[in-house]
Amino acid sequence: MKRRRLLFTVFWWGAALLFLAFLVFPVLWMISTSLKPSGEIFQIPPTWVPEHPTLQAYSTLWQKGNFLRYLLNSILVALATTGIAVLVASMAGYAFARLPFIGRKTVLFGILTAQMIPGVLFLLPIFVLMKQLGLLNTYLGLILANVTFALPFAIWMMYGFYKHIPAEIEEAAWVDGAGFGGTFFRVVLPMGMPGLLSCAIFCFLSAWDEFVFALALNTRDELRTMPVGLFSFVGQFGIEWNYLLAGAVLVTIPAMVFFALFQKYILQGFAAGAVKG
Amino acid sequence: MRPKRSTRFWRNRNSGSAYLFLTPALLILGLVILYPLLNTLWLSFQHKVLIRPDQDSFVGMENYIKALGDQEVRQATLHTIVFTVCSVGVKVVLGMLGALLLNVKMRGAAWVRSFYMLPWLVPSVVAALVWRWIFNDQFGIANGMLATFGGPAVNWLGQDTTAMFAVILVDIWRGLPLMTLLLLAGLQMIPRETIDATLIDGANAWQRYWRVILPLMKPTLIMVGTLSLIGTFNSFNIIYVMTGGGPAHATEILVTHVFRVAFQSFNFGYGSTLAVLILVLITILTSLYNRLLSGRGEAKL
Repeated sequence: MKRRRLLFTVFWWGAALLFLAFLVFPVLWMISTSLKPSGEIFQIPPTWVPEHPTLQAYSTLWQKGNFLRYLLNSILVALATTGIAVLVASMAGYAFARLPFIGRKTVLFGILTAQMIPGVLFLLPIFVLMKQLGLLNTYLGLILANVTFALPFAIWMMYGFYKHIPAEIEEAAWVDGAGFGGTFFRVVLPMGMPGLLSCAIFCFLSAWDEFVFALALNTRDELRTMPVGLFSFVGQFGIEWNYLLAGAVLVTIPAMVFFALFQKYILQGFAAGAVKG
Repeated sequence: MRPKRSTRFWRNRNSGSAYLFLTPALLILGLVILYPLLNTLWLSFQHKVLIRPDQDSFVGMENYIKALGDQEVRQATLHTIVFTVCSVGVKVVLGMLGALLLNVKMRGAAWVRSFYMLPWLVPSVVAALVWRWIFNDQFGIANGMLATFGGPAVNWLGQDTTAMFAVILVDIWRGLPLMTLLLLAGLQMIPRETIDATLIDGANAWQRYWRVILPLMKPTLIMVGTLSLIGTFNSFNIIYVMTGGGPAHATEILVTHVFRVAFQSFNFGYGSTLAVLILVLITILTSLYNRLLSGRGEAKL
């Protein structure tokens, strides 16, 4: 039995390292390239570890025009999207989970269908809509678009999550006279923290990743988010990949921080919300 | 499922507040999805090219007829199917293996799990750029590795098949963590003893896996697979940034094609028609997948 356990451990680590080699390698390569001086990136054969590591690419990037601005824009847009989407989704999800109102099934199904709608295909009409509303080249327009495309899945997650929380505590709070809103904000929201946080991670990452709408809706340079800014660097820096990948590293870090903060809730939240459904 | 008596409790409350709680969500979705959806439908029956406003007119089904005979659309559809089926297929299989792996209690497993999630945290535009550099035909590490084994330098993104292979690989790389995470969440609802037994129990562990775990995972697989199918089908960023649909349209999928029609040729009418057709195709694909897995033909979301 002991030997079998050992064999299993060896097998487990072998498989795990295989997966990690594939998943982690590009990230290491990105970091490695970003630490190389300009000459070394064109070396044949390529060096695995920089021979002359330098932060030159980072400092150039930092001084370069609007990089910091792009980063701050991304953070602002992603945080605002997360805040709004989580609040709206948890309210809607709660209503779906608890209240047997007329047309509940239909609306829920409609929201699930909305999930299938590809953002790119809606670029055109949303562009026109934002123009009519005067929201082109504003943070609000982009945030609104981001919230919209995060909402269906977020609502679904919160609906699944609340459905599996026993209703007795809320019923008690209500009987004690807390009312619907009071029960929700004072009892339900705090109790549903794990669900809320994993929903927040999802919304943050999807807003942080968003590219097409940021590209099309905000054309002024000072409103660009990181992915768009980085994409525009492809032209500016030509083939100077060390600058480009230094930017790539800097965009990835905030997402990692956000993930690290809430990691322990995420599996729990996904299990209760998204999968059980 | 909630017990019935609770339903009665909640029904007796003021159901007006239910609508109040739904209002923000419905307002946003109505404004930014429903209205544009109807707008797209309306535009799909028009001839409307932004740079030729003098030609605007209602053309009925003409755009649809044109789309069905369009060679470029046919090609993009084929590419989309190859791209989606390969990517989702590999993601589901590897994701299932990864989930089984991460579900095991083992010293160091928490670290493995954190690193496993890395690609999900890399924005897709960034992922596409990094891999573009990896596949660089002159200085890329992919060819560098090939060279160590005496292989020839491959122009990865410059040839039809290798370019398609490359974008599929990157899509798998970026999508695998989320797929695994969702499957893992499903796996954790199966009693741990059941799984441990199948893993450690030597000889016919594989058989047990097929007979015990997979059937229990079916609902999760249906849900997660459907999500992944939709997401992959619409995967725009990776292809747009890595190859731009090239070389010579070899990696052009439907969404990048629509983008080209609408925003480079400014053909809003025809672009809208294609958008509507894509929605129809997605619906067909997802219901096919649901049927395939649920076996009896009853779709279940």
